[in-house]
Amino acid sequence: MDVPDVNYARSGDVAIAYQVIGEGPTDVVFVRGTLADLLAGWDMPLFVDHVKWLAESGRLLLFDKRGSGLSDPVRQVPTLETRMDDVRAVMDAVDSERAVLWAAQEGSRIALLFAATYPERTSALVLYDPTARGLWAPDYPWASTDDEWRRELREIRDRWGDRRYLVERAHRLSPVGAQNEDWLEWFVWYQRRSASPAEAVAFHRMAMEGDVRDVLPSVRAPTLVLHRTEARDEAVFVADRISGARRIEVEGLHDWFSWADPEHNAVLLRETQTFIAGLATAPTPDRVLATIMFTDIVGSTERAAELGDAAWSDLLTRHHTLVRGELVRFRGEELDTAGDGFFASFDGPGRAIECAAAIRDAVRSLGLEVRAGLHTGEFERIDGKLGGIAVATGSRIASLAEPGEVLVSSTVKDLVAGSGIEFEDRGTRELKGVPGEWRLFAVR
Amino acid sequence: MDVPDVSYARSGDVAIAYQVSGGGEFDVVFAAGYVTHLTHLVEHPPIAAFFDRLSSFGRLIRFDRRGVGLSDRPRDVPTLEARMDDIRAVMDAAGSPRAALIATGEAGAMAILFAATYPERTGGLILWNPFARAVEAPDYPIGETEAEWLRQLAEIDANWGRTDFFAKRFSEDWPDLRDDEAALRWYCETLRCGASPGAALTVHRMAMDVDVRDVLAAIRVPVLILHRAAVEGSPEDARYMAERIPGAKCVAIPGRGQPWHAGAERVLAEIEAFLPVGYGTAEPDTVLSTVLFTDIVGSTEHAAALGDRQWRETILRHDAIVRRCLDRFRGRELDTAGDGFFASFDGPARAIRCAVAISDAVGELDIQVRSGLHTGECEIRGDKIAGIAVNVGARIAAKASPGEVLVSSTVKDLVAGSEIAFEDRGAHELKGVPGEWRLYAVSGA
Repeated sequence: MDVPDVNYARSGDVAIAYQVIGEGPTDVVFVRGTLADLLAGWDMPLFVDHVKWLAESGRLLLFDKRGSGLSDPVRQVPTLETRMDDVRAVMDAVDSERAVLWAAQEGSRIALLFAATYPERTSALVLYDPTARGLWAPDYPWASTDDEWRRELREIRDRWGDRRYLVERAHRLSPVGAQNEDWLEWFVWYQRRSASPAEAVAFHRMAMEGDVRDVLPSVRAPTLVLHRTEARDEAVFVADRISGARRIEVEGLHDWFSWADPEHNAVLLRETQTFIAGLATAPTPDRVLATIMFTDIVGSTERAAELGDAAWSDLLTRHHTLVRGELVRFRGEELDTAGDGFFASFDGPGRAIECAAAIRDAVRSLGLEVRAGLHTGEFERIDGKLGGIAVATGSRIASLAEPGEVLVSSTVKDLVAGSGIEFEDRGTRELKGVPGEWRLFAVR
Repeated sequence: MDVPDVSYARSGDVAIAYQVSGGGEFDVVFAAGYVTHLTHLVEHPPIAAFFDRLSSFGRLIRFDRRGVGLSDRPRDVPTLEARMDDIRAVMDAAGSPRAALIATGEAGAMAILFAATYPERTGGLILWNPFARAVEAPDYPIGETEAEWLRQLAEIDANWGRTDFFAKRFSEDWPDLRDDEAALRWYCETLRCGASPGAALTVHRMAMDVDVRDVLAAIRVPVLILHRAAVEGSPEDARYMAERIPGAKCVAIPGRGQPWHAGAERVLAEIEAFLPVGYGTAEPDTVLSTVLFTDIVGSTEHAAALGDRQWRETILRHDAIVRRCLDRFRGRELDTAGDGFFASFDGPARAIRCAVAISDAVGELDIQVRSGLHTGECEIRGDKIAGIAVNVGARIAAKASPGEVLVSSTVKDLVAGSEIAFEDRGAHELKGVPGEWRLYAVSGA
């Protein structure tokens, strides 16, 4: 098979390298499990076989994540949201409206966030050894602890690229593949080509910080979870939280790179093909994942009394203009204005936070202070409007914010890990009319 | 050619990938310009053959510069000084105390700065198609116009990575290989793997920033300049350099393309004959240094106001602060004169950062310093350095306002690409030093 040409999609100011293989009515996006390099993959016949098989289900899109392989380097560790945008940018570049996301390991978190955020663009998910989170937590004890990650990151920093280290890594990740000398040699160069030492550290830090536990219940796409026996606990965690997900344990498969063991990989690929072939035309989704923002002018009654009606209404108009400007800038969608506050939704929590902070700063030029509350959750879409308990949650959070404060739920905070946005813990609160306890954080 | 294994040298916190092959009495460091990829590069048979021959002359050390190939890829344009440090880091990692440097195209700038700064580590300098400055200026009419550079940057931004774009460049640059499909495929793969679109843009910005005119006269090691007589602009650039580098030898090579294309045998023969010449010269007695002078503002008034004992205490604390900063930025203390310092640095950006750090840190003592910086050729006298460049540095310091870090235009030009910002302070005469000097105050570092 000829190596397909490499193209570049623009995601913000970052070029994402991608390849298109085969054709067909169904689009499949392959979101790789770790660092990769588009061209180096084609030097490995076993990987090429895997790709060809996936391409039998339709048009296959392969890409290098930002900060690796042929894609642009990054200045700082990108958020999961930014990386999800990269998938969208690649799909947009080839006019793909909907796709099946075939994702492995760390890549499955990108796919899960994508599926929850863009249900209308996700025909289905196939996840191999998915993980919901990188770091140990009491309710997620299978991931590495902080100490283990620290050690691992230090080792990557000091030894990435070193032949001995990469050979050890090969044996650890792919016991079957590593039996073969050619495979081993290829793997060493593949890893070096995929990432320089600093890029490898940045990537693994990202893998450590990623967390999509909260979005799992919002995934509505038909989902197939395939996993090795040793990855069962995390696979069960993911599959149990996605309604209707199917889970299949591939017995006898021990390679992290499933394709390095063609015999057992065949089971994986057959299940994938059957699953994709069986997808009926999916109904239009009625529930979407979004981040909502509520803003409110502090002390508006007093100000209105002070200024008189005409001046106040003039001030309000200018306030609305400023807020709308920022909404456009950060791709927010205005849903409602209630008196002197705004209700808007965003397809990414990082953008929502930046927008709220920008609004707060902008309206100070009018001598106004706002409070803002943000929450990410699953919403019902009714006639283009959002509804559901998550809306009430966002509104309650806003009412608890101090003047000039941007207050967010822990869901928002977890999703922007790695963005560099800092938070102050505001403790656990009850939200009127909303069940449960809520831990809230103020954006610093 | 057997592909030797890759190792990584640490230059600050940036990993530089390098390969070592061959052996012999010389060490030869090959700094390839533009976009490279250690392993892809040698898949082109003419290159493999060329490096094979080079590694029979001595131990060949090749590396991907920061930003391309297998090395780390910081997104911002690196300073010339950081790139020079990369050569040093690779030599240190490969255990090479002294090496002949071969640099192609725009990599010539970093090699020139290295040779002038570390003459004791440079066993000769060989430059292929070098240029001293990229952009046309009133005193440099042979550069490309800025408009032309910007046009090229826009073209790279829009097209880098596209097969048709690469194919067009390939046939323009290397007309002899126009019909070689394998070579074209190799060309596309190497450029794509060597640099993503964003990384390629950074490389071009870096090339556009090149200006080492002020360093040329300070080179004291033997220099061989090889250039393509038939390539437009190349003879002018080479001549400009040869006229300004003392004792440089300039050889025109017929034909087009890289050194491994037409006339490769001639190129290799010139290099082979030059290596013993470059290596054979005696220890140099001059070196390119950045000198820093600092001085406490109004020390007499302070001393009178505070009384001798307390003033002495302040001076001691001031000295400790200055030494801590020198330590941090690899400065070498050469003298203290009254309440000022005289120090030298092997990189101008480090020297500026040091001066700024000193200015900031002494604030806690309720005093201010003025500092002056100049980069120039200095004579080595035992542990000390001397020469007109030292006088220039001292004069510049005397012109600085309280708290100001004032630098010569040489310093400013050499730190292009850093985040350091300057304010123009106009042309000055410096007492006892001929000529007019344009000075700049550091406004942000």
